[in-house]
Amino acid sequence: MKTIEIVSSLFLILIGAVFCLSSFDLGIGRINAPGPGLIPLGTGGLLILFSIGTIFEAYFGRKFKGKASLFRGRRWGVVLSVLISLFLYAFILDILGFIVTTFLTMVVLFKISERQSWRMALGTSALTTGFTYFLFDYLLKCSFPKGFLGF
Amino acid sequence: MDFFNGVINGFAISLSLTNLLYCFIGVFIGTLIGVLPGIGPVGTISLLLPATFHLNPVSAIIILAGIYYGAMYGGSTTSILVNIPGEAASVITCLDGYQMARKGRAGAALGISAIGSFIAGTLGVIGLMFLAYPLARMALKFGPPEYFSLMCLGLTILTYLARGSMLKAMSMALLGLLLSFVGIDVITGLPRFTLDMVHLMDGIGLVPIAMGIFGISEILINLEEMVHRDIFQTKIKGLLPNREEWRRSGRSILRGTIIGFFLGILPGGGAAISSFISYGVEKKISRYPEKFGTGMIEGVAGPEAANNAAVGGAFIPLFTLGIPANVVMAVLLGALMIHGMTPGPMLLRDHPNIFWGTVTSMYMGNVLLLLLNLPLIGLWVKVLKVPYRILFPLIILFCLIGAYSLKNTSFDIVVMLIFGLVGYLMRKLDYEGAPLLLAFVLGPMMEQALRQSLLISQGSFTIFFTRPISAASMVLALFLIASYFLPIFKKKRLRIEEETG
Repeated sequence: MKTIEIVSSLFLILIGAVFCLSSFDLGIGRINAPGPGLIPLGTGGLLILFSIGTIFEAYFGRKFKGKASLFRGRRWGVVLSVLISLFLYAFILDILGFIVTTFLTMVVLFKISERQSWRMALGTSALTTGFTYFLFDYLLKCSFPKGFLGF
Repeated sequence: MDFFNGVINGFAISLSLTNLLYCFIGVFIGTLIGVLPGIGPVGTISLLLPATFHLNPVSAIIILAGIYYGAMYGGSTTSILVNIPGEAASVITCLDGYQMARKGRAGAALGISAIGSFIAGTLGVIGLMFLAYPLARMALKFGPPEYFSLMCLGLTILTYLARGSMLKAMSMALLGLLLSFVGIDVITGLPRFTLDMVHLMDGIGLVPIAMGIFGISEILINLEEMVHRDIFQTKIKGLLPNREEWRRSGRSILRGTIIGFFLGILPGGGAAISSFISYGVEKKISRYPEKFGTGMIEGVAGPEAANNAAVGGAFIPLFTLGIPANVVMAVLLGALMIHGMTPGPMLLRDHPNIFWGTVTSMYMGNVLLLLLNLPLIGLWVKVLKVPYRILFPLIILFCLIGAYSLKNTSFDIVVMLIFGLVGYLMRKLDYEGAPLLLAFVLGPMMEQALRQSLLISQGSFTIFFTRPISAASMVLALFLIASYFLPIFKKKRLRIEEETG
């Protein structure tokens, strides 16, 4: 757990450093006439400081009720599959259009979590896709992408 | 507009058929998401925000506020019947509510929680009405240093009250501030941290961040654990508590209301904390503290009253100062701004209809919720039985559509998913999402107030310590930070944490 705490703090330090460095490019200005980079520089600096503090806390400070492992014994495979399918959804939505992309993603999501019959997964996916399309596109005029198939 | 006219005008707005319908939709959805796991009020309000774009601002806020206090009612149902809180604010209700259900008093527990919520919710709204105007008048005298110091204090209290490490919570607040700087700088007009992406010129959207951190991440956590919810098999009968239970609950409800209302006003306070404190108080003053956790009705009545009264209290800093007291209020602030309103003292002066319309609709909302939650309890129990494997794809689909429909671009979906992943990892590593989101909303206001203050003082930070309100806020914030690190306070804090779990 300690290693993960340190890695996460190092990641935050990296983010703080990136903001600090970019702030210099934006222009710091003077304290009585702050430039656009001054406050992000200060905030980034504080983030670095607090993240270093978190590393110290992980080493020497109080022990928090941490988990022995972040992923052991958990269904992280399901989480990963869901995330991948959702990112794919975002990337192919404009190409395949709302109806096809949503239907396919719903089938994957219904099948991914627990074993469900194909008939059930296909039926529920078709129903939800149709219902949401009718509600958001037809009634609420959300105008979803049509894709190269034209629907 | 004076007080009396305000109330009459407010009721004229909230009692119109359209607004009553919006109020009903709000509290219905609120109860629904309170009952359902996997999505809370923050995620839902963000999700439905785009759908309110075409409504007038009063109706939009009526519907969104209804979701918030509706969720407080709904959350208790799952706590009592399933021992799984639908909402963070209902966690404590599990302790005695579920035990009451096991002893055959599920009806009384549900009844007292709905009636207690109604009484507290209504009293909270009355408090809001009376306190908002004087406070707003006072806030008109505030300048940038006061605003900056108050916002610093709000963030400090929120991080101080965070679970676990305050350092981690502060890091999240700072990360939220940094993210809020992305986009065009309002003073110089220069793009900042946009990575040359056109989509980031307007900054990162509040809605995709909120839906990611509070919606998607929650679903991912639920998916990896896949909790099976065993609904307590009992016939719910007799929703009215008996005379003895009434006698024991009355004072608890009043105490819970007072605790909840005042903690709700405090930045960083909010419904969840007030319910914990109310439970602690009830246990402390009870003649039978050892019986708490075995089905004591005071342990249900007090916290449930507290979390509903906190809602009324939380609106006070939003309407009077324009500073959100908690994350839900932060999202509502975003909603008001999208509708062209700037919350704060000017809102009450320039747009009194928004204030009075919303406040009076909350009376109606509480009545509707009582009707929804008592006679229709069977419906919510049926909703509880919908398996999560069916539910989660639907919640995800609504999140995807919500993110897309903001600007009709897939970019916001990607942002939402990235923050969903970030939120998922944050939950695992005990980093809290609330400070990040609140800081993200406050960021632009804080930066502007700080820059203006420095311009006024010609670069001297003493300006924050020479004006009384600003100085008091800053000193309190610094005291809270120091108390986290000073050993004498640290020990006490750890002891309280252990006691409250």
